Amino acid sequence: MVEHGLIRAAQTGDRDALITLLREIENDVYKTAYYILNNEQDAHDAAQEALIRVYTKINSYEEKAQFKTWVQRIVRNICIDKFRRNKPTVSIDEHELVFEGKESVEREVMSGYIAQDIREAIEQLPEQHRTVIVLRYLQDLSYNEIADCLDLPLNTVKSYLFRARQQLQHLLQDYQKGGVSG
Amino acid sequence: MICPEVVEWMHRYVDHDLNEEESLLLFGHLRHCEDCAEKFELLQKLSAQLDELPLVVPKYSIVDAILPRLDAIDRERQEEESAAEEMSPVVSLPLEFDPNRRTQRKPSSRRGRLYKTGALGTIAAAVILGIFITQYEPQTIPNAEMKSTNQSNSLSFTSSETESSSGDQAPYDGATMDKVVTEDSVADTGKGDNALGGNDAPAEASSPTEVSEPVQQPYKADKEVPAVSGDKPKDSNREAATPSNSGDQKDSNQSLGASPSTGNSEDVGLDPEQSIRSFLLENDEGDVGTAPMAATNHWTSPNGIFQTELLDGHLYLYKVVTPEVERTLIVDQSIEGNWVNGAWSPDSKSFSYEVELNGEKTSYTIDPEKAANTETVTP
Repeated sequence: MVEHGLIRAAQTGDRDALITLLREIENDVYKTAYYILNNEQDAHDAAQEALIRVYTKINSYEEKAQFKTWVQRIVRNICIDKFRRNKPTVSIDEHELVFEGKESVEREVMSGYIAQDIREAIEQLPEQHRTVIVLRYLQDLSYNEIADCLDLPLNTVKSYLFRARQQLQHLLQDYQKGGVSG
Repeated sequence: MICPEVVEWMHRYVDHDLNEEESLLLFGHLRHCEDCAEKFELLQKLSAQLDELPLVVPKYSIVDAILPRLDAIDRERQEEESAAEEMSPVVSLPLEFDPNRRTQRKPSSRRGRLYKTGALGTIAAAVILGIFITQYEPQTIPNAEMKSTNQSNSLSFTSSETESSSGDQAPYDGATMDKVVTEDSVADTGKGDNALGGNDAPAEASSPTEVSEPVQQPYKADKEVPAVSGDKPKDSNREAATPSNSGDQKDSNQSLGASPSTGNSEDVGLDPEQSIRSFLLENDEGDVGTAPMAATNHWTSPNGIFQTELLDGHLYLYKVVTPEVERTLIVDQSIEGNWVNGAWSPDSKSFSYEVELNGEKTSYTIDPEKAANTETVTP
């Protein structure tokens, strides 16, 4: 949890405080970007953009909102932009082909069959569903916080989340049944 | 509970969104419903896996990677802010519009900061200017040419200050001290020596200011011709013109009339002095003995050898032994009544003055040479 004192100092022009703030949120930013984009390089790029945006827009953060939510929103928006720009037309086949190439690298990073499955499964989710899963499980945001972050109604968030989990279950069942992963 | 509802509650449960009562109801149903119980188990398993998603960390520090770009942003901002200060502080930094947001947040605090910076800059400049203006106290230079444009004075003052001052401190200090001293000297020319002595130091210190110089004038062997030094052409003229409030037809007057045209920035810069002087001169006319010595009561003969002073109801006539150093008192004439005016003759052979007593005016003349030869009065 980032201290409010640090945020306030950053907002009043204390550059050191602002840099410290960026370092504190750096990993969370990267993590979200990585899970949404499923690509290390893309995640790095997106994380950089996100941190720069935090830096330049620090004064637009209002204390009534959660700082984490505010940051995650920035990350997610950048990821969406990047996602749409990088992969304008996504067909399943193309996606999988591309996916496999990167996956081999990432499999070395991650361990565990299950983890890999889940990661692959998450990536299969539509963007909104995927984002909700990431925010819920990787950032530990509550329904309300997710709703705030994505500018969605609470019920929509719930339905996305519940639906996402069901989809994941299906996908995992497919995997476990010897499905897509290779 | 029916099964569709339960499914939702299951999800909420794994998200810790059920309260105690609701949880009990959920488990109550699960106890009875196998299908739901199975679903619940699968859901919990999935959620556990999701909870255990590996934390990925960047391979290198992202903040370090962007520091150069942050520096560039800072530099751009500084340029923007300084430009905004000069213009009106209405600068809106590029907002990155987020289409997904319902409400767009505006960097009001940043704009406010720009406003503040701009306002502070202007206020600071105004304060500094105000300090300069109030600190600068022009010398009261006897100058018959009365310029009453005070506004132009302050403006011209500023320009002359910037022109003449080699350093910020010296002229001001000199000017301030000069003012104090000058007032004294104006009020009481008899104390001119002290005033002069006190003035000498600051006068020396602030060489570029001609302000200090005129104070020295009363005791200089002045001629109408500005021969003292190249940069003090007017002072002698001004000083020489002092006694002639009544518009005496003196060469010094005439030369004074000519002198202002010779000056440039100096002339302009001394306008405040002139206006003060003119004010004092006006006040002093017809007002002598009892009134504070605010006007010029000091006259130097055209040849510079003799000086007369009106002080405390006495007219003192001195012979100058060494200019600015020593003078000898020749005549001490007590004055009865009110001093009207006094002036030297063009040939410096006599000093004439007029006194009013009980409504009657009487003129007197003193012959310094004669007086010097006949008697010497110890001051």
